[in-house]
Amino acid sequence: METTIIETTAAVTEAAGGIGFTPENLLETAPIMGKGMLGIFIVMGIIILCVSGLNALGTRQKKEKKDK
Amino acid sequence: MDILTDIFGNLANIDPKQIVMWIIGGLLIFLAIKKEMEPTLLLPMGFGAILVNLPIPDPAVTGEVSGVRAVIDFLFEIGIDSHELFPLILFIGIGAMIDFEPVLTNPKLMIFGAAAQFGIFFTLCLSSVFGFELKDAASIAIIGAADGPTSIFVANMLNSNYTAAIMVAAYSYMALVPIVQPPIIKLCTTKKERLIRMKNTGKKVSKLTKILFPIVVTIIVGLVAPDATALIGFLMFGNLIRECGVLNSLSETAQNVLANLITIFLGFTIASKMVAEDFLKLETLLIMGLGLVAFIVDTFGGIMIAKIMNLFTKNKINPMIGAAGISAFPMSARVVHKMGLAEDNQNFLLMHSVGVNVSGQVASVIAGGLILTLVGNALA
Repeated sequence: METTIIETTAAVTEAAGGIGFTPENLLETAPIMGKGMLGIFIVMGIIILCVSGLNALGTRQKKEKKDK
Repeated sequence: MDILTDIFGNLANIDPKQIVMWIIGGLLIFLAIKKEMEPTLLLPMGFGAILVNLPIPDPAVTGEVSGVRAVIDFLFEIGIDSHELFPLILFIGIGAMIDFEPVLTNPKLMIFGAAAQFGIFFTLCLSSVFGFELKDAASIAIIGAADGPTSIFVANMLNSNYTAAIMVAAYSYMALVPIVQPPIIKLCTTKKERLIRMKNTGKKVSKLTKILFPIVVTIIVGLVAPDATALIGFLMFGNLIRECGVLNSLSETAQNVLANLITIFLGFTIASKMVAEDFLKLETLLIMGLGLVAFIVDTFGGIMIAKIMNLFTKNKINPMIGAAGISAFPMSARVVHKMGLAEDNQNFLLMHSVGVNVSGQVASVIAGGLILTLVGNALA
């Protein structure tokens, strides 16, 4: 009787108490990876812009103090 | 004879699995004392692991409200399980310890912090392929945040079945950063790249910027990644105490007394989940392996983004600093600095690597929040 890889891995999974090779789960987690990495770059990008703005504000304040 | 039975009768209740846990507890204590690996956490965890695996009746079975297991369970319930109190309070101390000046003078270093979170999301995929439920895969992945409180917070929020193994892996690998990272950095970089010298900007940041930074970051993260608000809020509150300049006494207390006090209880409390029947599983070994993968891929991600940036920038970046984006503050920055000096004794990368390291701290918290949001949506 021919057994497929999926059947074999399912058997291993059962034997190991639920842990085994289930590549089809990637369909669920790959989009989370994409969205997560994109999200983190967007948030850090916004923070970089804000910090640059804060630095510019600080520099301008220093100049104004010097001028006075 | 009856006296002997009374005194030694409990010996018959010892389970061989408990003896294995005593050995694991002993190993953690050995690593903490002899190798000085995260002793503040590994020592309480090691001792706690021995304590909860003594043949004492389980309060869940007996219904007793006193005794050592009941007390440690109570600490877990109030300190972690109910509102993640311990990791959040610890974050006030960590926030008070961090000086964000290196990253404020050169904000683009934050990109490395973001890239070095790749290991988290890669491990999420890998863990799910190994058959872990989504909530457990996400909790295992967050080991890659290289940040204990974030790992505890996320694993507990997702109600993971493997909190103890995740904690042990997270803190063990943080302690092992000086061993794990150097070979990966060497493998991913050429000698020529490791010799790149980076100029210090020499810029100074105004006090106003330092005060506004924690407030602005809290607002941004609160708006974009609401699930990370608690973590980032407590971290940035600690930093505001440090930078405001009028609460030096509170800042010192947060950095030392508060952080130490919570650390004692945290390690001990985590040990309550190191009960033999829950801990000695095949999954625990797999989680340790996946945690290592997370750290390796984090390091790889940080280095690769530096290499990509070098294709477009005039002032070349030493790719090794990307590895410090893994968080694990401040060990990772030190590792990169030492490696730079080993290649060229005049190459001082410390300011840059610390900048990347603290941005990794912020990025790992944001990654934790994003994991909670995205996985929460997927599970809903």
